[in-house]
Amino acid sequence: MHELSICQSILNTIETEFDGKGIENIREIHLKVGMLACIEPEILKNVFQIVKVDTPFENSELFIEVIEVAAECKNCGQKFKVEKYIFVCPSCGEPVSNVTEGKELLISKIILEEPSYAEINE
Amino acid sequence: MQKLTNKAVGTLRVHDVSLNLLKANDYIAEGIREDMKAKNILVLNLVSSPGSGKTSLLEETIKKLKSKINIAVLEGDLETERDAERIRQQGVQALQIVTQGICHLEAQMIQQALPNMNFDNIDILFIENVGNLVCPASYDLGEDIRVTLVSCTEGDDKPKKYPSMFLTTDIMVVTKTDLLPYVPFSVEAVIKDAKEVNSKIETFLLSSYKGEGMDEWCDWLLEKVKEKQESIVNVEL
Repeated sequence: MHELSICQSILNTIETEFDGKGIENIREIHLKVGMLACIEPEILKNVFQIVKVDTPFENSELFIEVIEVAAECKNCGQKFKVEKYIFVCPSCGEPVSNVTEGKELLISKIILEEPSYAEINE
Repeated sequence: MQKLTNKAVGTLRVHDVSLNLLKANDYIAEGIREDMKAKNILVLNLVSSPGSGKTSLLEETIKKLKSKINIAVLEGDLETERDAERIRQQGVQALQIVTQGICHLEAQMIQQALPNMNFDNIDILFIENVGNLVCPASYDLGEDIRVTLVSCTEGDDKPKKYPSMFLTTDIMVVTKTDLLPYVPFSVEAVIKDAKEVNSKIETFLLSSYKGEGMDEWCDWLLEKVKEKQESIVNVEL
């Protein structure tokens, strides 16, 4: 439900990262979104389509990789996928406080198309 | 013959980055936490679905504790001043944040609201979040303790349905326990599910309306205020 806030944060974060320069050259923005981030990828993509209009982001598209929840047991070292939100180690039964994946909400990659002027044979 | 054209031939350039989209919020939240620590104030963030009794719990808590400690409240709602007015009737300072449609409070809203409050001698700041078990989970408000309410009328399945919230929760308060005989709500089941999501969750059972369980809750709050103030004194020593 807070996809609009997150979308605004995408624009602000990139503007800060690129110091506001060359944003119109961005073609792809790749996100990693954990299952625990409470973000619905399709809604976020739709919101982005609306928000980018009439901004330097107009030529860019959003790509979202959803990350499943994983954890590592502090007791026995077992790494495992967390299924059905049971945060308990399947090997030794220890409760898990060490969620290693699934909380992500970040921009992982930005692809720009930088215009270059080339000599072309005609 | 060769000639130069100005036709753009794009070169794709990939920037591998790791830019946390909540970084700005987390940065502001950390600032609030430092500020509140310097002022010696314990901050609690109250979250739940709408209607599970956050404001009622605050009203009854204030009635019981206002002779012992000083309380201030920040209220978050999409619209209206109603909650802040209810709290003010208990004789304590309350400020309403109207989010105008935004489904959660963000650290920036708290940061903007704080200069409008008087924190002289305040011991506890309660932040009552927007009623919503989804979005508020992602936003650190600079609180010391996150309290999630589950009313027994809404069902005992909440921890597994909203795991992100319960993963970031310190305290679960089961409210409206006076209605337990009339609804199919299992206290055992809700505690079991909450512990499966987050083994560190502590639970309180109470009824703001009838008063049962309120003493334990208020004693715990007083204990936490004391702990925070002692920890600050220790650091200063």
